[in-house]
Amino acid sequence: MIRIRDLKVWFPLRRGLLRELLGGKPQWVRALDGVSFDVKRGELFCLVGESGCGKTTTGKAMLRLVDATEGDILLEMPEEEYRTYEEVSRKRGDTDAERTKHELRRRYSLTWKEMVPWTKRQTLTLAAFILAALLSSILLPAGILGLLTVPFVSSWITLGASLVVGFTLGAVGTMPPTRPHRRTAVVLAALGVAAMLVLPIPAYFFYRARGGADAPAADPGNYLATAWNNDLFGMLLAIVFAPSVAGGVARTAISARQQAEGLAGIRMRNLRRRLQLIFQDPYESLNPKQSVYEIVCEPLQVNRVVTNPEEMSNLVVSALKDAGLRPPEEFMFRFPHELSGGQRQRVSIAAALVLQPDFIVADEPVSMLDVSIRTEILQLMMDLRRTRGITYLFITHDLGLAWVLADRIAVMYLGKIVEIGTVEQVIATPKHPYTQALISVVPSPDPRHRSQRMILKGERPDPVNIPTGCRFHPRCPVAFEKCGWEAHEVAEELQDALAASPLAGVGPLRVVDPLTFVAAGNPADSAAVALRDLVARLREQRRAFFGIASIEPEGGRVLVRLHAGVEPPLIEVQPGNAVACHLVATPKVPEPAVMA
Amino acid sequence: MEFDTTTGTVHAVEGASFTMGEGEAMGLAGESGCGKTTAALALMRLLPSNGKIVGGSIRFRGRDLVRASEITMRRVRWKEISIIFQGAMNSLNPVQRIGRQIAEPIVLHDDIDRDEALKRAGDLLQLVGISRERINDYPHEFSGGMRQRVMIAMALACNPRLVIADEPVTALDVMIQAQILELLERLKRELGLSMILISHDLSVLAETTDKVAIMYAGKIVEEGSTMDVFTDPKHPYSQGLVTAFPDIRGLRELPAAIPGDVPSLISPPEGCVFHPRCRLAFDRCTRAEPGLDSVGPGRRAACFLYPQVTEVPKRPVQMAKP
Amino acid sequence: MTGLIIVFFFVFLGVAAPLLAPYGPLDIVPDALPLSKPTVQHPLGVSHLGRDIYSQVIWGTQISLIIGVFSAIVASVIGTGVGLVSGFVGGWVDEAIMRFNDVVLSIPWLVLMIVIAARIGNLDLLGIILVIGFTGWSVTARVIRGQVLSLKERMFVERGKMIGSSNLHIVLRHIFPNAFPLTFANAILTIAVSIISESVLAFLNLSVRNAVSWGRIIAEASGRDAITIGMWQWLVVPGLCLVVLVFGFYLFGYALDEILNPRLRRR
Repeated sequence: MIRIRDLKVWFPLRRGLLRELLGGKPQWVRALDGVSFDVKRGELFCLVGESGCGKTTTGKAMLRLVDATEGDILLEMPEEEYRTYEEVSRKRGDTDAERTKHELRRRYSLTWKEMVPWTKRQTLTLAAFILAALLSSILLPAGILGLLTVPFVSSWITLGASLVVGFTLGAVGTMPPTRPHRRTAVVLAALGVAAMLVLPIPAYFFYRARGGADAPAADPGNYLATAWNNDLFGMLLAIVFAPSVAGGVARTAISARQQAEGLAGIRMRNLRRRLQLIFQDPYESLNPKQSVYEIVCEPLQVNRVVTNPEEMSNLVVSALKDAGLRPPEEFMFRFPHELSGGQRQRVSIAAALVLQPDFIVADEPVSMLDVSIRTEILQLMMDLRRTRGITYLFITHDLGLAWVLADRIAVMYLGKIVEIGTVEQVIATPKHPYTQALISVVPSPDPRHRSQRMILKGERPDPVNIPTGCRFHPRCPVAFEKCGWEAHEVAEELQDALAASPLAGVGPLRVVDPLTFVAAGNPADSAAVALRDLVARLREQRRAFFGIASIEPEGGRVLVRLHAGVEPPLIEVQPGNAVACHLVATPKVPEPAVMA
Repeated sequence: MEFDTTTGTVHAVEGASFTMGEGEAMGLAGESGCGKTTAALALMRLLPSNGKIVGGSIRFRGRDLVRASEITMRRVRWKEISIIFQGAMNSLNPVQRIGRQIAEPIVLHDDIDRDEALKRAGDLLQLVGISRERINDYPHEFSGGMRQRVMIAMALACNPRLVIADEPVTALDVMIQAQILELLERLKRELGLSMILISHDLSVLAETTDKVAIMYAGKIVEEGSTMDVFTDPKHPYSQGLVTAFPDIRGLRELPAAIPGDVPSLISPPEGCVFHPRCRLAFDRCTRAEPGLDSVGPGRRAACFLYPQVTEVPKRPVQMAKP
Repeated sequence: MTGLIIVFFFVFLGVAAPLLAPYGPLDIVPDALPLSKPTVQHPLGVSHLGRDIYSQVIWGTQISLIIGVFSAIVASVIGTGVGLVSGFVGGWVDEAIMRFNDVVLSIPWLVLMIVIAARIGNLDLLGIILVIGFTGWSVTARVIRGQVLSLKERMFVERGKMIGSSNLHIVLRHIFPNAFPLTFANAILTIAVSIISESVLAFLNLSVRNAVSWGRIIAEASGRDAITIGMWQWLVVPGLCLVVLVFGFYLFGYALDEILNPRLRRR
């Protein structure tokens, strides 16, 4: 029903005004870094992971609360079209394929609109409008009135003229055949300059011809001066108005153009009815100034689903009933602060249900509720699934909950999926080292079920500095050569090992490039041998040493070279069960580490 | 150490009593509002100005803390019993370096000068698994898990015998949670610490405690060894609560619900405080209140289902000023 | 509470002015000479133009209140509007507006107001209200903007976006109602400021031509050296009224702020 393909959501990192001005490479918080999975109709799919893994961002991206940087969210794409999509995705650079893909994305992808940002041209056009309107609003009235021998210029006239000018320019500029285009920008700028230069001239001559005795001024320039002197306020208003109107009209027209070409507008309204989100915090997700009735009927109003107040009321009542708030009349006019946590969450659910969605994204819907209430809410959600055939995307950090609720589950780490499959496959027989560790540390309420806990050392890295290669490798208990070791990591580890047991003749380490570092050696040959020995001994505990490809003396120092790491792709190991790990990925590798 | 009190006019804690030995980890379980935090604060005589202990005794290493003077209490606090408050990791002073903050209680309680205290703070950081060099860092440079370790270090600053930890791992990721719990276990072993762990998460308590007491609406409704209480709960509430947590190593079934809501402490129900939600309630439950009596070796429960359980007089709720 | 009482007292005075004041504000009293000291019939004396000062003070309440309240409304409406737009839209619009606001704020409002009033000259009631209103919006805008910025991040606003509300709908339905208590409290404080502003303008003879506000009375009194000629009440009483009323509004405003703010931090 929903196919997520290579979804990326990157947030720009704000570095403070000065650094932004000075330029330099922008840094990104890579909240979601290429996530792909399918959710079948009617199933309950769980997205699990610790904080910062990107699961909430995925939910938000699906509801368009954040803009996807790349990737597609394909909604109900028929099978054949999907095959076409896959095909054309593989062919890069082929313009026909690109066009087909474009078209398919336009029809089925929720991320389509976001791919059309304002281009430089459009921005230039807008600027041109503003400039032209500015100039025109000053000069045109003066020019015209000069011709008409009207003895005064007032701010009202300027105002009116500027509105007209602004609107005309804005409208004209975006109509076909003139598209928001560099050419248009040039044309309009020229128009503005022309107006400035040309118009006063005939007016001047006209005046001279008429003797100009009955007019207080002899040329339009003087008119302007008079107007400014008499009515500063009005003139300022006019000056502000014309460009604003022009800019506003132009921008609206350009956006309308964009929207008409995408999934936005009426289509999005339809989509909103089908996808809904239940928020995590029952206290925060309801407007304290709105009554329950208002909260639940707001989606109806905003999407203009019904206009008849009676019908609206009926829909609200039935939504409240379905959410378990009975009798609905008793709750309709209460305010959120009068309700308990569980009741508030039911209101959230009712508000989500009122549009009859097919698909609900639930972001930690019960984690802020008391334990005894949780089950009620979960049961409600399960019942709704049965009676209405709703498909759920359940986002949670609670693996125990995923175990009892989900059909299929994807485990995320730092913005990517590391393992995906049915709940039996992933939780009962986890294959990825992260999954194995995670499951081993989840506590059971039954003291007899104490497990051998695999506690990972350290903490997850910042999404700004995602490790190269496999993003889990710095904490992985079974990492090896291909996992993406970098010089600074290995050097640090080696430094630590040397601090514990120093080797004679081995001096400080220095990083040369991401895959190489050097150690001072005295002499280099024996230092190299000693290091090799140390590394071989400590490899099993200090996995970073697996990254070392060679330790050779060179030019009086010891040169340490590392294996180049590769990011493991998500590869299917069983039908429906995919893992992103080099150990597990290819059958040629020796049996993956089996943990307790 | 024994703990047996009733506090306040809204009876935040009503007749709670349990015993624990040295080196034991005791769990205090219950949902929000059940009185577990109040009980812990009462233990250290740290109740806010509108709360007071109105009865019972707290016997700690032979002394009764209820009757102790404030001066005595000040010596007891932190040197013998220390506490890690709920959400404490967010209450570190953001403009003071960590080292100073840890050193503060040391300087206040022991007669050591600033430098000695800072050195000791460094030792404590190492003890909880943080590199000593970070002693001059500010709180915002630490992650949530590390800040919690700092709070543990602070609690250990004066070598207490007993540490109370209120929701020490709530709000932490499950992996960090495991790290912290492992740290607490290690400290318990190496330092011979006694601990009281307060949590709403029974799974956490199941892993780390030796004994547990389950609270509901200000009363302890069941008490015993962790193994007993969790595998064979006697009180209907405990039964419901234990099954309400999904077990990742158990069967794939939806946890059971406990219908109804937590009662208001201002107007608690007549008779047994749990009876309105209890599926096994009968006539006696609506009239009288069960006391916490023995229902097996080393086990106590407050439920009339067990004939040994006697009634306790219900303390009338004084409707004082709200 | 105290503030509320004070305010009510003066409102009552203003509303009941026609009944309470024995004379109109500009009526020339028949039975006493100009510049007479207080007597029983004229408790505060008679002004140099022959008017009963006591009546003038009572009538003055009306003017001060009307101008105060309405100009505060103008300032609040403008300020709230600007604050809402600035806070919600963000980006360079916000920057631009805030810089502009900074400029306006850095000019002492008194000076600004005096200059504008003097430049325009000859103001009627509406004019005065507009002038004071237009110079007083800056603080409100800043305060509201802060509120809007924090409200923007709240989860229920996200929900609003999710169900497809237009931005306008979100501002009107979600942001404004939650910012309103603050707007209201702020408006009350603005009233206090406006009343003082008006008095200053009146003192400088820049206010409404024929309206007798307290500022005007004080101006007349000090112009005639009221204290030295022994008619200190002429100067002091309206001044006292001014101070007390403003104080009343301040108390009321701050109290409101206190009450409403914790509720804004609900839970």
